[in-house]
Amino acid sequence: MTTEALGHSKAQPSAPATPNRSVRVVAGNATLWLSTAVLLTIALWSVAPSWFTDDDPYTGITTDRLQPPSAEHLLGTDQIGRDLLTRIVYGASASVTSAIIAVAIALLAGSLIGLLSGFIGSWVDPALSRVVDVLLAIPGFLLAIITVSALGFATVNVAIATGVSAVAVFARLMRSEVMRVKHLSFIESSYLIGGTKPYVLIRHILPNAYRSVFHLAVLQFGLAIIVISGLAFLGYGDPPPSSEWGLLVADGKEYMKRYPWLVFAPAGVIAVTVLSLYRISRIFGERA
Amino acid sequence: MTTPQPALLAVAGLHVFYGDHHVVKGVSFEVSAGSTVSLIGRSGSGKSTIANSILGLLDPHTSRVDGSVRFRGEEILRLRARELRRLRGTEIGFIPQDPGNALNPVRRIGAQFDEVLRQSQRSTRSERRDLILNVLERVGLPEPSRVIRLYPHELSGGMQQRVLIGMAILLNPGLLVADEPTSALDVTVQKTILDLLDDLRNDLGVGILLITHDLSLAAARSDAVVVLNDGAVQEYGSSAQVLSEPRSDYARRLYRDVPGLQLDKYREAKSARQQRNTANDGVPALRVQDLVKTFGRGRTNHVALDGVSFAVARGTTHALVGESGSGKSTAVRTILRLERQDSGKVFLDGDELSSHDHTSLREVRRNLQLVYQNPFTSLDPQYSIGSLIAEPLRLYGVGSAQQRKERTLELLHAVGLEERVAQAKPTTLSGGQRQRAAIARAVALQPEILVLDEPTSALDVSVQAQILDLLVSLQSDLGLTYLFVSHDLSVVRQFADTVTVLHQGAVVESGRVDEVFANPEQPHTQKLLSSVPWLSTAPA
Repeated sequence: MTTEALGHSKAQPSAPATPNRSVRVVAGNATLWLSTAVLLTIALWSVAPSWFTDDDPYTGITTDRLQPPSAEHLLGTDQIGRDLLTRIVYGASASVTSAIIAVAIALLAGSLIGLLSGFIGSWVDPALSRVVDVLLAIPGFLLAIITVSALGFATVNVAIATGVSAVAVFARLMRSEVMRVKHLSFIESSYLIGGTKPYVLIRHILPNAYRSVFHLAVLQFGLAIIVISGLAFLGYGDPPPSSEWGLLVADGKEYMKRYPWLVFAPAGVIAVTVLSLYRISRIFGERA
Repeated sequence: MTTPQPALLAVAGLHVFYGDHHVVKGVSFEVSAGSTVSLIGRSGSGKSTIANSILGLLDPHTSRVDGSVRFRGEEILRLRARELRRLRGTEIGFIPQDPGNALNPVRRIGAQFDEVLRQSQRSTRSERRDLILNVLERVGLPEPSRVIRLYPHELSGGMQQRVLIGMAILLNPGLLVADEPTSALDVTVQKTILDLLDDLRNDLGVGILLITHDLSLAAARSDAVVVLNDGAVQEYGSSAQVLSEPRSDYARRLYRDVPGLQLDKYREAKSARQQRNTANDGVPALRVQDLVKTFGRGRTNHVALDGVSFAVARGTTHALVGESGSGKSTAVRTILRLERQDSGKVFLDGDELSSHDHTSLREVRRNLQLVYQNPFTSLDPQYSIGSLIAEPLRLYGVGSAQQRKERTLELLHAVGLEERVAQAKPTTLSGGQRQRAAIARAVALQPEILVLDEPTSALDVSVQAQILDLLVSLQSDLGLTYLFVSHDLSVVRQFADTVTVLHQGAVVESGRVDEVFANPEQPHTQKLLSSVPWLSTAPA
């Protein structure tokens, strides 16, 4: 049956490209390239913000306060005359670093819990799974707020809190992937040819299980940016004059009615970044 | 072929293209009412595509069809979708390969039949019910009024297939298309299903188009055969004629590859093994004594092994035969210590296995390796074939890196794979190539005993013949002892020296293959053997 099925799939080449379909393919690729370009730009912003702007993000020119977008100030200026684009570019570093820290914590801790839970089984699995259940039972954003309140208000703590709130999701996925892989016959075969448990776990189970976890990590990166911005918006991050994106939105909301770009520009950057990440994560999803 | 009436189904010059891929190349044949015609070919030969074009199931967006398929003189290829649906429902019945997937798991059998009837005719509820009960009885299901209230999972595979046959004949079609209707079933069940199809053909006068990869089955059950290779007809004629004097090279090769037609293929190798074995001392390479294994506890427990004992002499091949659920797999897993037995002992060279702890077991396992049934899941897709074959050597620290590399190439050569395969990932190889690689990996540590768990059942008949050839020559070169698990009695008869027949976890019969097969003493063995489509006539 297996060979039969394979024979069929081989015999079916890709369908002839109808106009409709090729439009979709090109459009799909265009959004992919666009997303890649967006993420590269933001990565560069966070590494070398001074390449993109000559202005100072912290000191404003009071005479230029609350300028609308113009050639000189592409996204306008804020209430004390600082260039908004400059603020956003310099804020990228805080947002991106926090998201990386958050995802790294969630990925490492979650994978480890899931790996042990799925691989060892016996009493370890129910014990760890109950911990994960408890974490899942608390809404993620609330858990993050609780954690950051305990650790103290700072962007680094926001990142840690965001990571902790996502540990359970990774643990769940890793556990189910490990359980799926560990019953495949090549795993059993590895024991028969003399593989020890740690060996089989690292050489055979992990490489076959990590792919969908990695896909989740890219997705979670987008989610982490949203959560971190949200926490910063609520004032749990570094205080002003830091220019974390969520904080920019919070600052701008005072002037929103008359100067809407102060809210929409940073919010738009957050949205575009997250959408780009989702688009990229889809490639990993297709391959997984 | 019995009556000269006009053909029920006439396929003429049929071509099918998937894109640029020419899948079916000018195929012509006829099926008349009351006869069975078999389409024979290996996977990828186009046989299922032909069936799909007869049923009008090819996707017009991805495929192009040329030629003519006439059913009762009506051109099927030109029909509109609505007319095709009518034809499929009422005139042409279809019996799928895997009954487990073909029924809706969340609806009762009766409801699924009723759905078919309601779409095609106006009748009252009780009329429909009577018709359904009649059909279920006709396909040999006991207590039809109970069966209609059951869900598919409450039926065995054989009963599910009967239900599907019932559904196919519900509206009295003229033609039945059966796509490998028995390949997912046990041999004894296989026989009853094929008998049923024969009865239906004789009683109802339907024409049957039987699609199969099994030449001996086709020969025993059909009036005419069409042998396909690579989408083209190699041979077409009455089954008696095609089998007694195959004209094409392909048919002759296929003929040579079918174990049921070449029972004495390995006779010389076997007698050589016998002679070597008698020169040996008396200690069997593997001995199993009173193995008992029960799964579950209390009322829901299941006795998988019930006092199983047998012994395998050094350098010979011992077959473990039985239907699914007979305990073959559990026996193998217990011998390999992948499962722990409740009681009983396994001796390797007189050395009792369960006396070993974790560390010394690892040393013992060097001598006991396994080749899996499905080469598509037994090799880790992440690594190259070379690395997978060298893996056991690395784990047991055999030789230097350079020596291991040389040994890997040697092993590839021994199993008939080219050196460049070492760089390939398993997913890029065919089933046969993968199984060769899996064998190379299993013999890398030079084990004494190789357990072969249905090593060819996932492979085509020609590939199966090559793998069996390879195993026979490896055995004589390396002096291996084989424990060969199989449900295919023809292969067992051809390949093994001794046999143990298992039934419901217990040994039914044990002995030399030729003796057991010639004079089965137990009723169960007799039943098993009688369900194989043996062919006594061999070609000149």
